[in-house]
Amino acid sequence: MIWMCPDDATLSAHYDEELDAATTASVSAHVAGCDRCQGVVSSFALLSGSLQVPSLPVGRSSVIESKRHVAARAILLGPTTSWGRSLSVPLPIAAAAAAIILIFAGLLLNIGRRSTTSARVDSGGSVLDSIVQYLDARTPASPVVFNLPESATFRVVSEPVFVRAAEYRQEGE
Amino acid sequence: MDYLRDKSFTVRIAIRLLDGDELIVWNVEHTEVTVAGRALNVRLVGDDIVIDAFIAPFGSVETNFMLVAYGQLWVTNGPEEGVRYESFMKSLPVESGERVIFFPLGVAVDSETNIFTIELEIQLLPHSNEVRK
Repeated sequence: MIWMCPDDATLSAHYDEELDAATTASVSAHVAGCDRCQGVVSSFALLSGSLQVPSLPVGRSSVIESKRHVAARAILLGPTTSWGRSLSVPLPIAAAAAAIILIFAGLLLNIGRRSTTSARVDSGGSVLDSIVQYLDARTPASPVVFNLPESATFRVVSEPVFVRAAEYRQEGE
Repeated sequence: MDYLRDKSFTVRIAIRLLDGDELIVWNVEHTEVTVAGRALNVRLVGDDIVIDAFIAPFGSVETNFMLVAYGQLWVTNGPEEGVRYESFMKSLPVESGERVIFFPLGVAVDSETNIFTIELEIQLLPHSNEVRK
């Protein structure tokens, strides 16, 4: 008889009758006297019952059974590492993904080529440099200042007036 | 920059002070060169007034264009009255060579109060024509 509780993987194998005769007998004797292990085996039975598929076609029952076994082990034993796991992708989806990647790569190459071209045009033009220098030299920040006569009095008498000289002087006549 | 020269204006400004009888008591003239879209900054400074005006043409020098005058002014009439601040923006479609008049303080019509009117007469001409002269 086993005095220490077997691990859950052993109990699962025992439930699936995958152990040799001697081990099976030892585990069975332990389970019979261990509440904890009885609970684990009961959970296997519950899980097995919830995964049962009635009226399976001939030949598929063993496949379903093995899948149920794998699912039960995964749930009870916890997550396993995904290293080395292969991923199968349907061929049409893989082809579409490859086409999208190629299109984006082509667009990126074209954009890079265009920006290089435009940069070449901009950097080669001294016309723009001279224009920038002209703008800097003619900055409106430097006003033309006129000093009005001293002691002259001014008032804001109305809104500013902006009028054609010919119209203004014609009205004054 | 030949293309820029053909788009530039010669700006003639005459700044005058008029008394109540609209007689010219003070006059100064100035000529400047600018291009369409670029403002000419004229600042008038007196004992109790500062006018910061910008004059900018928009459009083609060969045809009609829009003349815009905008800016700020500060006027004080003694410490008891404080400072009056105003901003302004006026526009007018004009032809090349046409003269326009801008009164930043308005037009004083009361000749008895000894208040002067500030008048800016502005004329814009194609700079290329001025160069050829």
